[in-house]
Amino acid sequence: MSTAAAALRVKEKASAAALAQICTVRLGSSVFGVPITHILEIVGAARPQPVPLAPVFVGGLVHYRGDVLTTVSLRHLLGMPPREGRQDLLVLESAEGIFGLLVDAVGEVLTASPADHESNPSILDERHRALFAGAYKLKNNLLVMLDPEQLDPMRLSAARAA
Amino acid sequence: MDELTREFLIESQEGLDRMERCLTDLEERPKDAGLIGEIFRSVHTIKGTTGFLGFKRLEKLAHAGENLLGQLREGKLIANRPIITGLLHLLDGLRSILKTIEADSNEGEGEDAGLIGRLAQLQPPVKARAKRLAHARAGAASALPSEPAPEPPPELEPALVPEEPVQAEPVEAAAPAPAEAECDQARPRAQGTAAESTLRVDVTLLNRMMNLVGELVLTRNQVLQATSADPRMTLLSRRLDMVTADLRESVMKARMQPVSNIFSKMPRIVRDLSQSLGRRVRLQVEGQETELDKSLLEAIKDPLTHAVRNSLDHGIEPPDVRVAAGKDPEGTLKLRAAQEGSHVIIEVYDDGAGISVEKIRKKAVERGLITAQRASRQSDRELLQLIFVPGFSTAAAVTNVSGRGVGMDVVRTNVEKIGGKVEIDSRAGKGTTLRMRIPLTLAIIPALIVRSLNQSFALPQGALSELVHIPPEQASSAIEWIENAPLYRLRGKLLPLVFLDRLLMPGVEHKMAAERDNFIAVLDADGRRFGLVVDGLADPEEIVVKPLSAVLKTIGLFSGATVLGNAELALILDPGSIALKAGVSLREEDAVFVGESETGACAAAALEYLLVEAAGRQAAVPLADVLRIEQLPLKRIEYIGYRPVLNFEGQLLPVEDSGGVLAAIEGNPQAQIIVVVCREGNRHVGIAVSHVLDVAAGGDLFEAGTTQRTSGVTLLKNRVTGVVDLGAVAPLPAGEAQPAWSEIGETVA
Repeated sequence: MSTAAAALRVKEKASAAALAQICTVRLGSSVFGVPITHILEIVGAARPQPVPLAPVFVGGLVHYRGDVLTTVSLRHLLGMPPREGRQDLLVLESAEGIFGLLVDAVGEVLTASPADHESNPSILDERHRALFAGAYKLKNNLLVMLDPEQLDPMRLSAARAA
Repeated sequence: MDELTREFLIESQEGLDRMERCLTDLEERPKDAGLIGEIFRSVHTIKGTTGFLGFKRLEKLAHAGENLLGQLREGKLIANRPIITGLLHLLDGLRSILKTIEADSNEGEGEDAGLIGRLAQLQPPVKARAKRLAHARAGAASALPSEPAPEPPPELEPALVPEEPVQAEPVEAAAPAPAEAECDQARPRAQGTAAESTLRVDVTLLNRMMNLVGELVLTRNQVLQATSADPRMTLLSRRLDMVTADLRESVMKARMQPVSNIFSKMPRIVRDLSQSLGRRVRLQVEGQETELDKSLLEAIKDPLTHAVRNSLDHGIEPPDVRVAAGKDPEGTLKLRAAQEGSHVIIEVYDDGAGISVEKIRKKAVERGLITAQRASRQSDRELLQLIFVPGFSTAAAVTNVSGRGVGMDVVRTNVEKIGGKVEIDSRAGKGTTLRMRIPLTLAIIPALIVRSLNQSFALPQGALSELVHIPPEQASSAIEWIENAPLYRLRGKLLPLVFLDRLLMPGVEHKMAAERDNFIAVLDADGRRFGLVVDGLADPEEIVVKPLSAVLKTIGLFSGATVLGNAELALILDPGSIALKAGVSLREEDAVFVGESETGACAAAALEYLLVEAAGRQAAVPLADVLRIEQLPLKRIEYIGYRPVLNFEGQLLPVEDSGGVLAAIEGNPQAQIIVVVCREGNRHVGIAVSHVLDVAAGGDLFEAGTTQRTSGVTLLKNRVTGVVDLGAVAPLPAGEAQPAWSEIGETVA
């Protein structure tokens, strides 16, 4: 099976359709991936306006093309200390609508084959399992994928309530 | 759902709305061929299209109606009350099927046999005989068509389809065909002209356009700020400014719909209710063409219906009672809409029994809403407003129409939710007027920008009644405490205070009031009056309201967000929710003032003056004309020739300086001046003063020996004070300054 898959991969290298395009984001020393299909826009150096009394995972509001976007702080979700200074913003689209995701920095766009993808390991703790959508086995490291659907503020507040 | 069906639904609904209007008119003019033709066409169109789309149930019902209408059109029947009632039922039947189609994309399983039978019954016996004949021919021998058919589908088709052979009687034979042809020809022509000049647009597209225009307004504000230094750019940005203003107005206009869209529902309601209540009512409608934003129109539909129901149930008396009281047995219900400035006034007037103030007084005391002592002191007008207090209902008997005690407070809540106001005026035995004041649009509202927690917040001007500044050194004496409740004595009455920073960030140490500037925004929200304490004030701005995501909506304190002229985001505070969250209770006694503050404005405000001092002399400015008070550095004042003017974001304000304030401090570059900005006719003027002293009620003065009121002076605090004559402020010289002038009221960054 694996040799067949490998043969197929070589064949299909030219056609990008079978390959997943992934935008990498950096958070402290960790790197995560976001499927590019869910990204509407990348906004550099956003300055979100804090919202008093908002749920803790809300990173504030940003002005995006005539709308006011609610942003989610990835640092908070992953239990990392807040960061001083500006952060990059990914404008993501989920089934519920659009929202912003605050990360330390946006990196390069990679292509990876679905064959290298594996779902979340069972030993991953509950909280992270809800946010991650498996990982890609890259040459040198593992690229942990974020699940944009699960990062939607509506989902997060529902999950917190539950 | 496919495009064709959607279009069919919209068209049919419009047709049915038209039919409804015509039916109520038809009751008054039963022989009006034009009306009958119009109704016939609505039903005929539905029948025609529906057959094509394959909605069998709808087609059958429309067909039954069309038969009856055909008889009316040919003059074989006169539209009497039972027929109109039958047609109204037909209308409801058609509507409910359309609703089902809209929801589920199919017609549903409903049973229309009873209705079809009733419609058949309304037709003259000739028709019944013809049907029987038809039956014989079709071979369906069983059921009698004059009875409501138990199983309509197999039996109605034969009853109705072979109409042609039955109409062998020569008189009828020729009539229907040409008439049909005629109307079929007439319709496309009429539609053609309408189709050329109008266009259906999705509301979400309009919302999007409104959003983008809001965006453009913000960008323009920023461009204006950035380019004000460069003279070459000034001309261009001025042009951008004008185009933006025009565009904004056009898009806002596109969202406007005439009030007739909801007024037209009323004749039917009035008809049904007056019949079931045994009233005789004539409905008069005025100002149907007045336009209002679509979303607002939707929002006032329920309150308006409620008010109309109330008028019929509690207002207009039964005919015998009216005759006994010496009135016309037929009561009058008047709906009136008119635009007043940036508001639309909607009035529901009836000439019924009116509201007995005594009853209200008694009831209010009984329910403990007000003390007997206080009740005896209050004016009739104030007492009347008590009917808006939750749980108050004067209906002696509970009817199924109204009087369950959940009436007028819901009307008020709904109207206030969209930034409107409602008040009632009534004279026992004479009638009642309910007046709703609705803002023209919700998308852009005037707001005061306040600062707290190093952030800007927008406070809607609609709820704001006044501002009080308490400098740090006065804070400890001016803000009084009962346990942990802060209070401020506003003109002798205790005003509960809410500190915005403490409310938004509980559990954190905040600066004490004595360590900072305090500004109290006195707010009236849903009958709750309180002072919101903030750290600072910025300019008033016209803000574009942007909705918040559902997650942030649940916080409850913010009604939206906006982008300010300096590109900063600001949350829009919701005064009503803040009052609730902070536990400011609804003081019924104060609730009265909410209604009163608006209505009293005309009577009382004419007498209230802003007392100012200009170069050592006191003068009075009518408070009703005062828009705002600006404190600014003297160098902001510029001159056109000898005339001092102020430049507000490109809008010129002539400054009146008859007091010589400017001359007195000229040459001092650090000097600050105070300008009272007033409305005069359709322009704004500024008055330079050295101090603003107080607000006081003026007393009339009479010229000695006459009963003639003196003009130009008033009695303020027992001193004869001159009133500034705003009309005398000369307009700016014609020329470049003039066009910009008429645009005041535009967004100010």
